[in-house]
Amino acid sequence: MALPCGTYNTRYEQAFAIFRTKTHWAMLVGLLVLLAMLPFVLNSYSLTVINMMLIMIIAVQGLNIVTGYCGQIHFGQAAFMAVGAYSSALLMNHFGLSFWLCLPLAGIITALVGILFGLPSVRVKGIYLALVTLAAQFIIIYVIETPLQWLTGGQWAMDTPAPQLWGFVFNTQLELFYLIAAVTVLMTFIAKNLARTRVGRNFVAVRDNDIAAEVMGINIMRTKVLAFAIASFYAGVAGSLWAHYTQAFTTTDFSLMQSIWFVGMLIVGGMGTIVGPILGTMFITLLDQLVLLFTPTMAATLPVLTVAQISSIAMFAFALVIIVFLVWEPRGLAHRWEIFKTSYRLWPFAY
Amino acid sequence: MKGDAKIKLENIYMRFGGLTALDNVTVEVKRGEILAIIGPNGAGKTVLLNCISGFYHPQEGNIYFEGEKINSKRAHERGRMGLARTFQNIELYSGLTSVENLMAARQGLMKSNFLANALYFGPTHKEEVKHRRIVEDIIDFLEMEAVRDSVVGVLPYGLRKRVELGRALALEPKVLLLDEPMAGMNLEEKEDLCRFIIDVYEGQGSMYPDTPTLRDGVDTIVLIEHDMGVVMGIADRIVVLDFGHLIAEGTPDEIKTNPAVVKVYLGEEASSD
Amino acid sequence: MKKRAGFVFVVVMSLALLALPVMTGCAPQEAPPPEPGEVVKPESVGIAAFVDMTGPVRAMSYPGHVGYITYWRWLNETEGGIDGVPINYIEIDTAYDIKKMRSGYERYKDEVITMEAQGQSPFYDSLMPRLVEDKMPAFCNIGGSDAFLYPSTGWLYGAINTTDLFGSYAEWVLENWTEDRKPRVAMLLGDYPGGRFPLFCPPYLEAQGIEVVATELLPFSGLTSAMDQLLRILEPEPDFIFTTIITNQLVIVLDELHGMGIELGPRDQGKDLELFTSYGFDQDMMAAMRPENWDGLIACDASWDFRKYGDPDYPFYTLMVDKYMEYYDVPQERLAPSIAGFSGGMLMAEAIRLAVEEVGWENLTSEAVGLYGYPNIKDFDTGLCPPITFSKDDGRQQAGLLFRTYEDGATEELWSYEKQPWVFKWLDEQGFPIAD
Ligand SMILES: Nc1ncnc2c1ncn2[C@@H]1O[C@H](COP(=O)(O)OP(=O)(O)OP(=O)(O)O)[C@@H](O)[C@H]1O
Ligand SMILES: [Mg+2]
Repeated sequence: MALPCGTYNTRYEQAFAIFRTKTHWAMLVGLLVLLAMLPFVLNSYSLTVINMMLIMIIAVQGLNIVTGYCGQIHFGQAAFMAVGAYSSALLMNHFGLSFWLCLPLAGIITALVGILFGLPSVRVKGIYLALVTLAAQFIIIYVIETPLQWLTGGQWAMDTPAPQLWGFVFNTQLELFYLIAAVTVLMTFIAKNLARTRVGRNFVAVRDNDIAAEVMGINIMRTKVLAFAIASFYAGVAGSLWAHYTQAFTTTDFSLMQSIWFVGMLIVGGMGTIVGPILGTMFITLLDQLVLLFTPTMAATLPVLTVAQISSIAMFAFALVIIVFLVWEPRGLAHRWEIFKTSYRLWPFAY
Repeated sequence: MKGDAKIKLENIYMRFGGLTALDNVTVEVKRGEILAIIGPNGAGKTVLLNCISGFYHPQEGNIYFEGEKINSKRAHERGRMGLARTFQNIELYSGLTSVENLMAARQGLMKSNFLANALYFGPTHKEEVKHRRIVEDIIDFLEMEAVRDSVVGVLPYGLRKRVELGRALALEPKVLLLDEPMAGMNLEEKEDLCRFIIDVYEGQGSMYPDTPTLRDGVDTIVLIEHDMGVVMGIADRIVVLDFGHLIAEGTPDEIKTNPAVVKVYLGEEASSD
Repeated sequence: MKKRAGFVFVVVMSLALLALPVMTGCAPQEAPPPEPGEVVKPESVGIAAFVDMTGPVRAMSYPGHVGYITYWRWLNETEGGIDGVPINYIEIDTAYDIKKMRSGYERYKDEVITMEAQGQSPFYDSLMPRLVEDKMPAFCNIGGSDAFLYPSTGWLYGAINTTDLFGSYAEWVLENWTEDRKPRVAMLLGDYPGGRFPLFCPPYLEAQGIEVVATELLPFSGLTSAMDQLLRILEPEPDFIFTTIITNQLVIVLDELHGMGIELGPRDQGKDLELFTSYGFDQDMMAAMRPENWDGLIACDASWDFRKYGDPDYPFYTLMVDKYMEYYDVPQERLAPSIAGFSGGMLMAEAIRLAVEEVGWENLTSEAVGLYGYPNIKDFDTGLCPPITFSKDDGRQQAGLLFRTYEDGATEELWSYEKQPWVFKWLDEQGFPIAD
């Protein structure tokens, strides 16, 4: 990791700091101020988009831990989000627990389910593990819809109250934005901490070389299962936020498509980095919204085409962008970001 | 005590289908010695090391480490007991930097769990700093400062071998198992590596007061090597394998003159050179 | 070179993000204050349509949607819209993705006064709190009922009175029942607003002396098998299955029932069970499956007023098809849902007209359409079915119904109704919740 020019680590503590120079801190403060100001310049539409995007970032951040860091492919993250959403909603509706308990409990319950489905990962690898996680996607949704119908209401919408803190109800998009943004920042911070310390290195060790990892004293089984548990915890937290954010949700919200998109976001953003999930989710959300915004306008200006046709073309363009992107930068946006930072630091001197 | 059996392999049989890779092999690695294992290609040297580090579980025979029977111990448990090794074909965590590779090796010595890691501040931070110091000592010792923050996947072969040695040292091992650490190196690199091995064996004392591995050294080293010059130069004792059989055992001088070895091994070596 | 590309990329991304609110317009444009006494008409009146055009339920939702836009376009071209104000219909492709539905709703809700969404229960489920909060009336397909329902929350309108339909089935079942025990009925419902209405009916059916032994919802999206649901409803051995499933689902269900060796038909003739489908059964569908699959099926042509759609002499149908072909230049697909959409478009336009009558163009809001538009629709003849009246309090009774069955490829008329049983009224009188 290159440091800004003229900055040297003179103590080991400094090497561990995320924010290393005064400029870093200034940038952090600036960013937080910007984040705080955002709602005043954005309308409810943009806030809705951003709120949903932030929740997705949490889920992708979790996926990044198991897939990006620990190298275990996972096609069922959306179903784990469903576990979190239903746990949180049920805990609040049936036991009257406060949102502040529901949120972590949803995470913990989902983590336990994650352990259950993570156990096979000890035995199977690669494409077979992909199939196991795919099965998890179907099994979980099936269990929620059918055997647990008496509890979850099956395919019917689950009504969930808005989050509350000492009588203050987070109801508008703006209030929810602050809540969701805070949780997202916290979860990202935790992901960063995990990535840069013992657990994170163990995950990468298992991903990069499980033979060496084992000889170096890493319990592969425990590590993989832990990765699944943490990833599921993230999914659970994201699901809980989703439940209380939408205030009404169904299993359709957590479809296989969503799971696959999570993987797509991660790949586009860059696996095994903390900014990857953020950039990837932003990128896909943005493309989605551009399609949404421009199709009606384009249909108006191009009367020969119907909206359906334009939407199909947009889908195609969307896919093309992602393909071109992966060919051009298979390491994801995060790598672009690193290159940008390096060149920015060395500017105006080239290497 | 010097001279005690550190590792003991008793009547080991290791078969892969019809192939007997180790056939009734009994070897003792004594505390305080550098033991070299030699033998022609396919003799079973790597298999022997794999049996010690727990990758392979022999069909018959017992393995003892410091007097304790470790047959049923899994590879990662043996790693934590202090059996560190390098691999014939480099096995690094290719996505991590040199420093991170070494830090990763210290995970068994770290106390923090994932909850503490998640919070970072407090115990985890202290621990990271403490272990980072030791890792930097090892990097300094192995003269790898230039590549400490490079991702190891892109390093040249010789340096990757060195990172692997560093990673084994970072484990604070009681025994160092080295599988052809010098294979594919040029003379200069070989000399460097020999020096590192001897320095590790002897310990650096006050040079690295906070890093036990370097300060006290690793007093027991098992080395697989094809380069006879190196083997004769640094080994206290040599074990010779051929087709899974242990055919000779003794000091370098004894091995040099052992007729069986000369016939099987040195003869082949001479012809292939 | 690479560095520059990265820089450009980050800049473009940030600009795009910043541009998002700009593109959507930060503040709604303020119209100049009107002169007193002068009627200021807006330039256009917005209707949003949320349709899955590229996702898994496209095949089911898009044809219906085409009916709506065909009607509005035709209205704009022939009459210049409603009272001279053209309809600006904004079509949004949801791809069956909740995130797109929600963001699309937020994006366009200020520009429209009512919205249409085809067969997407999850959409309504998810947005219901928003609809209520924003006072946004939403409309879903009208298959051709004379009763115009007022469902639970008050901001979702339309759908077919499938509850009364099940009352008719019950009557027919009891009429023909000869055994001592109560007839056992399983409900297999399509998971869309109209398909779910019969969930209100079990108390009525039980009161009539029918046992409801199982209820299953059949998902609307990309259905390839209904085996799970079928196994569950067959377990308690029903004598009859009442359904609100739509054509694509019916094709699958009939095929799988046949595969299980279940023969449709009356018990006393040695058959296994009888299955009622609520939306008729036409030549196209017959062509889509083997004849033995639909042997013994009872198809009910509910409230088509016995006018058979698909009849080329039928003027409404002809107009619809002509315009559809003219505007969209696409081969004639399945037109039944499109026809329903065409009449649905008429009803939405009528609701706007009524709201304008009540509050005037200058005060036309989504709330006004919800309060004075849809609820005031009376005896409105779309030409498709008997005149439609919305009635919040009595949940108007359904009228005609024709039962047909199929035997060896031929149709046989079984029974016909002038008026169906008034299930909603009964439920209301007995104090069962039909709306909450
Ligand atoms: N997992 C395995 N399955 C089957 N055969 C194996 C396996 N591992 C090793 N062998 C066989 O055991 C024999 C000994 O192999 P080993 O790798 O120990 O040789 P070596 O002495 O290390 O040779 P080299 O000097 O080439 O490294 C070889 O014939 C090899 O093919
Ligand atoms: Mg070998």
